[in-house]
Amino acid sequence: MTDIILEIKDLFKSFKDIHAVNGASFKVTKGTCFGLLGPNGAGKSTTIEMVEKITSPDSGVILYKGEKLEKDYLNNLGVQFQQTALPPMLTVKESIEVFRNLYPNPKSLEELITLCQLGSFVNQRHDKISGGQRQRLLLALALCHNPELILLDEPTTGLDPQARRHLWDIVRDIKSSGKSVILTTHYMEEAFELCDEIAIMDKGKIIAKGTPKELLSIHFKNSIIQIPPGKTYDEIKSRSDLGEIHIKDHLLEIHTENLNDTLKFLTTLGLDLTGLNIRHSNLEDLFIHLTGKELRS
Amino acid sequence: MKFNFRRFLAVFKARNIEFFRDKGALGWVFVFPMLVTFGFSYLFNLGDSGIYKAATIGDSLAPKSELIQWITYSDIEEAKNKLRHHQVDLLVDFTSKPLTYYMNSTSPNSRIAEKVFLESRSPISISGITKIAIDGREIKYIDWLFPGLLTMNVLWMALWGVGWVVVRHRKLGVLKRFKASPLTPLEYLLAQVCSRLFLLVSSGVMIFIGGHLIHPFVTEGSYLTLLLIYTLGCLSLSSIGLVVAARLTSEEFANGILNLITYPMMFLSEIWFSLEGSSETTQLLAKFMPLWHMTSSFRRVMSEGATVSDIAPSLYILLGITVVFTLLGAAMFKWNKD
Repeated sequence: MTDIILEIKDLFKSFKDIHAVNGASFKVTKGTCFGLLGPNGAGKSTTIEMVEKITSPDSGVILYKGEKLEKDYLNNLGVQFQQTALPPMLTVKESIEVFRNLYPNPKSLEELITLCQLGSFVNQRHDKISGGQRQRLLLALALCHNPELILLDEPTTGLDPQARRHLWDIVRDIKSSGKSVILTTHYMEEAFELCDEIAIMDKGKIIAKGTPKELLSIHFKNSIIQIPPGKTYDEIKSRSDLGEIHIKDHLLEIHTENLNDTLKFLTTLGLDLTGLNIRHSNLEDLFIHLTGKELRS
Repeated sequence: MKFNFRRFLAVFKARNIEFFRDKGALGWVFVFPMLVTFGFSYLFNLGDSGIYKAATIGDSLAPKSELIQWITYSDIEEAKNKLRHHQVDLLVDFTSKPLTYYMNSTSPNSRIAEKVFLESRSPISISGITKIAIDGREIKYIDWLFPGLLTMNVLWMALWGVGWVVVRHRKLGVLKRFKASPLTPLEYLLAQVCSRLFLLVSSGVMIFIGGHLIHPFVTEGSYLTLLLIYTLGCLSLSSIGLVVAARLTSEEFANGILNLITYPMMFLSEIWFSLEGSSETTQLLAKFMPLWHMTSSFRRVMSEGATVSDIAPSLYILLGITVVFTLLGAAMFKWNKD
């Protein structure tokens, strides 16, 4: 029996002259969270939509548990779209009931209300609730039939920190119950927290793939020293032998492979070390490193 | 995937809730036909013009009178029917020998029109006239109009209630969300049509009862036959809505297409006025309209007491349109733009 729940091989999809997905391949292991990251327009949502059977690929293969997508595949798939609409005029409770009745073995209404913390607004119309409450409702709809594979397309957009962490807990619970999640997000901290494996997409291609730690260790061997604004900025910037130096968020950042020598040099400048911060590279650094700094549409 | 009644019912319920919570749509469906019925009932009962309508077969000898408006008919049976239902006050057959006239003994207007007609002729010619009295209940314009108002309401509600709503669901993204579930197009589309049928039949019954309270209509035929015509009419018009909605994503474009269908159908289906006297082409064109079959069958059952077998051709046409357009709509249907 395979541990791979979903496998995507050489997926291509074009819209007129635009190659939205250009040969994407990856595998999702059972009981894990797979993160699909990338700038806007990278092809993440199109890839997800092909897995959801919303869009058909031009070529390539999608296998669920080693088989081509069968008719009852959608019974095993939970979906939370980035943007979606529900049948108008319904309350939160009625919306859940509609979707529960579309599947053979749904979770109970009470379980879903508790799981996604919908109790305080369950009788309100779904078009009258806040953005965060709406995201929780959409998550409830994605989970209402206890699916094996859950696709979450930017599920925490618009959520406050408490709600975001609550969703993280739900994702961890899903994983621990042996089910799998494919997550797209723009929050790198979230991807690092939740994802066992990530793929970074750009221009329709997967440009990096692996566990977050593997990818960071492959792409970054250095530490980052962050220095608050001061008189010594110009002197430090002139020392290109220290490593890559640039200003980010009003802080001078030195990406160095030799932390000890760099710190020794900084002390020779008589630099006030109060406010100095040393950190390791994170997923956001990796993301920028791989996809560049130019703004995407 | 097999048809699943539970999924169908879930969407059916959701659509009903959507409709009943939309106060504007609800008011329009129930109040508008009642207001029109009430308005016409009032207007057409304001009083007589003082001019009597007389049907004539062969009008060359019809005496001129300021009080009688002569209407020529070629079919005497049709003219007798008009007299029987008080739609004309007198019928004179100038082609018969001896000259024969018919009057409705239950109509006061017919008695007056008879007197006016006889006084307009010389005493000599009166002696050679045969009088035949027939009777029958009066059918006023409002009686004739009411089935048209009812079916016109179905036209708007069925086409927009299915066609436009499906396009709106597609545009909003509701259909995209459904597509990622096991719901099939047939389950979704049938739920839309059945929800609309449920609303149309329940509103139709209420409008019929309400209309009857405002103005007691003559209903010679069976109420079950009326329900059969109404149901088939609703289904056939809803199925046309399905085809319109099969792929469109723009509500504005859908509006245009629906208007293009509804206006000619409304004018050619004898809702407000009869097509008697119009060209043969116009009358032939009318017979291609499901609304015409629905309206004319409804009128025949109400005023003439027509049975199912009498109106069978129209029922078959409505059924045929339903089957063909539903299958076409399901075959053409797309959840979203690919």
